[in-house]
Amino acid sequence: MTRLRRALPLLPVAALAAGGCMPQAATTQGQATFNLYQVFFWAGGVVAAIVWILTTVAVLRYRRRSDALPSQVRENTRLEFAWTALPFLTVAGLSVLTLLTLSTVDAVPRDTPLTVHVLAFRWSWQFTYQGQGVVVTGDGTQPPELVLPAGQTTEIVLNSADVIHSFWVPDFLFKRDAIPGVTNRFAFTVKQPGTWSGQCARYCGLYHDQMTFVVRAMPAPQFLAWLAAQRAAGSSPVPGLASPAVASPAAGQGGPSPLPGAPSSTPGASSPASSPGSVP
Amino acid sequence: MTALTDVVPAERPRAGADLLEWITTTDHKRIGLLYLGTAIVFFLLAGLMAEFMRAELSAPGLQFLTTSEYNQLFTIHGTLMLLFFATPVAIGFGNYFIPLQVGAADMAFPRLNALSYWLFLFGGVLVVSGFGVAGGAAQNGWTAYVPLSDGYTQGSGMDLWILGVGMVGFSGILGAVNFITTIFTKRAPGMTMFRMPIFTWNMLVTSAMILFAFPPLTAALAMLFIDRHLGGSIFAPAQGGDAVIWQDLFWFFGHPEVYIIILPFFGIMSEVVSVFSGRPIFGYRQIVIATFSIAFLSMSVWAHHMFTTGVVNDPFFSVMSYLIAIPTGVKIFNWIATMWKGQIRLTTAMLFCIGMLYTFTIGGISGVMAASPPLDFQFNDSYFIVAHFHNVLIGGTVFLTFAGFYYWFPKMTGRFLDERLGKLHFATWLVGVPLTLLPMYQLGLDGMPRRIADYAPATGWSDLNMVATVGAILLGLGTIPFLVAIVAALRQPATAPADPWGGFALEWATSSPPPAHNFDTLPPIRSDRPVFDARMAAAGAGVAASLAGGSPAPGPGTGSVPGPRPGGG
Ligand code: HEM
Ligand SMILES: [Cu+2]
Ligand SMILES: [Cu+2]
Repeated sequence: MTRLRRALPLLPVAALAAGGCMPQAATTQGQATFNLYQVFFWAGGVVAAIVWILTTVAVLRYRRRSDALPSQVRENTRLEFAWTALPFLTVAGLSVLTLLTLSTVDAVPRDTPLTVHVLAFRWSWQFTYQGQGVVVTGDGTQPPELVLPAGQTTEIVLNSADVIHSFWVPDFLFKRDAIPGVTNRFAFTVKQPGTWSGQCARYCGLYHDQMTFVVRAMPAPQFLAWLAAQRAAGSSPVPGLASPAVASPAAGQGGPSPLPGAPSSTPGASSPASSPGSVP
Repeated sequence: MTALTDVVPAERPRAGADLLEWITTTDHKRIGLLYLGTAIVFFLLAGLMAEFMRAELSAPGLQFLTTSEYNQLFTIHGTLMLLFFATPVAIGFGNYFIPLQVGAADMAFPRLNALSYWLFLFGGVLVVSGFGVAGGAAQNGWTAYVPLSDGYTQGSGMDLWILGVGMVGFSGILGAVNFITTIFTKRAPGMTMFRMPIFTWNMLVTSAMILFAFPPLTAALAMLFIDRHLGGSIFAPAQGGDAVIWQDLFWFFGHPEVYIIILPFFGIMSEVVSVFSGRPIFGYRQIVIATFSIAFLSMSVWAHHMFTTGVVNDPFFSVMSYLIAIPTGVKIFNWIATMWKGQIRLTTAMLFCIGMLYTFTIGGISGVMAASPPLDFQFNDSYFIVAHFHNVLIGGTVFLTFAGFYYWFPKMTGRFLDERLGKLHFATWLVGVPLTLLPMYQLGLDGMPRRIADYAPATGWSDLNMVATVGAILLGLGTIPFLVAIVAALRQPATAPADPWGGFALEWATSSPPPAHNFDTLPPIRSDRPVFDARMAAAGAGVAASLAGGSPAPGPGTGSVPGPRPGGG
């Protein structure tokens, strides 16, 4: 019995651990999220342990033993105050940590060495390297690659050509929605060279599950070489790839016009008008 | 002999007349039963869809569903579960028990009540009938985000969804008006507001929330319909419309909705826990205040569903969302304090409540995590969120629906649900829930998005998905004892006494099931536990032995509540 009781605190922790391991973050911004998650995870484990232990003890100790009328006490102001105040303090602490982390994760520095315009469309992605004359467009056969310099901060300018999508790289612990008519900006710094998979997270219609991409980070010199090679190869949006993917609703049905220009515009020059709205 | 021959031929015409009576009924108890029965049918239907989806996801590759079929299934599963099971089952319990708990003979507007039921039923039929039209049922998720569900979706499945959801929304509004009026105007003499059972309190607050939350949904659906069929461009960004405003409107309904489908069940929890602990609910006033706080706060947290849009005030909505966890946590402590120093009887109803304390807590904690925008940037639209909301909905709403059935079934039918089958039912669900949901949390953190029919083998998600599917199958199997118990009970004669559990609130002061007019006499109402008071008075001062109802077997003892006192008091 006592041993059982001593083991009890471990139960919720074990349960949470069975379904609660955040992957290591590949970006410095994601690292802040990872650290925050650890705090929440353990705080959550403690709260779960308290509730589980109290419940278990109550059930074991106060299981019906006789017909005697149990205590009919129905209030205890001090207790009630305590279990209102304690959660309040916990939540206040978590709020402060959250807001601090949020400012790190959302920060977009002024002069990032590289800005990439990401355009989501049904059902792939287009990456336009601002001022570099390089555009990578997914053709639906295999995931397009977003190539980046490791160790440097990259700014992403995110748009959608049709419906709402969401740009998610799970190992960066970050996603942001691509919304038609809204320009979202964020930045991240990939810590080490490597390859990660990304995927559209916002349900966007029939082939949502196939809207994947790959992020490849390489050392800065190699990245510059890659850029040059792409330019030399005359990288340009493969014509006609994006457009057929966009369903054109019957005229007069209030559907969107074929495309708000984007995937077919000229490389480099296609930076969508930036709206300040979403810069934190 | 003559009596027998008289009865037998009379059977046949009675079946038809019975049916007509049920169709035309305005009795709150019958409407309540119709609501409950229909909601359970939708629950089973949506549960079946869940099993199909889990089977498809058990391994990479498309096994036996097409992508489009999968997308239809999660859309209709989610819609049915939330709007045609969880909400109506609460309204069903409310219909049956609010008039009884406040000592009234019926609802304030019996015919409006019948209309609400039929709107709900036909709304559900419309939504499901989408499977029969060209292009299939709606497949844009229960959230139907624009512009996807606007100009990018052809086919009448989507329109049937809009109409069906609109109808159940309208039905909810009518039901809420009825509950509020009933509670304010039909209480028996002596039944002051602060003597109302917690279930009735929670239904009152829930109804008020419905009045605030459902009209924006109806408006949004109307706008969507205008866009789709009348040349509007409200939600079409390419024509100057706005794609985000739908989310604001939808979640201004959607977030209160998630409390609309938990508060009534918190009410059931309060009733069951206090009766089976033999103690008054601990901190009655604090619980009522907490319920009101949840209602107020729930109106100002909707954009926590929109953290990743980048266009809402993340810090504000984050802090508001943290705050709403406090009154919820307070209730959990109140329930534990109610059990503390009690005489706990582990009936199936009570077991589901205790199980709720274990499972719902995990869902609540993952909810607090998701209220942190940086963390939500990882969780949003991933399986972590799927796990979180199933954790609160199954651990909370579904567990407590079951508790409500085991607790109130004798009152509604005069028959008991078998306790052994009930315990089997409980045990499978207690094991099945973590088995299904814990792998989903991890899958979400590992990067599995929600609403995908398939995933590549290289993702490494197969094993956890298989575990989740095994858990889901266990939940499906665990439902069978519940259904068997219902069928078996209904074939028994009605033998339940008025008060089989040693209950507290007024529904236990009348026969099981109650007569058409509900009460022959009412005990005096001098506290929130009139039936308990009457029992104490009858047992005589100092003799407490009659408190606990003992075995649920019909028998003497605590059976009926003496009601010789002047009714009403
Ligand atoms: C019996 C156990 C259940 C299982 C195995 C189950 C399984 C599932 C699955 C596989 C999905 C699709 C996930 C995805 O592809 O994104 C889903 C979605 C959903 N489920 Fe359940 N479910 C169960 C019970 C419930 C209950 C009781 C409710 C509510 C009361 C519920 C509400 C929802 C909602 C709202 C969605 C989201 C639909 C959407 O994405 O639009 N489920 N469920
Ligand atoms: Cu998508
Ligand atoms: Cu919400």
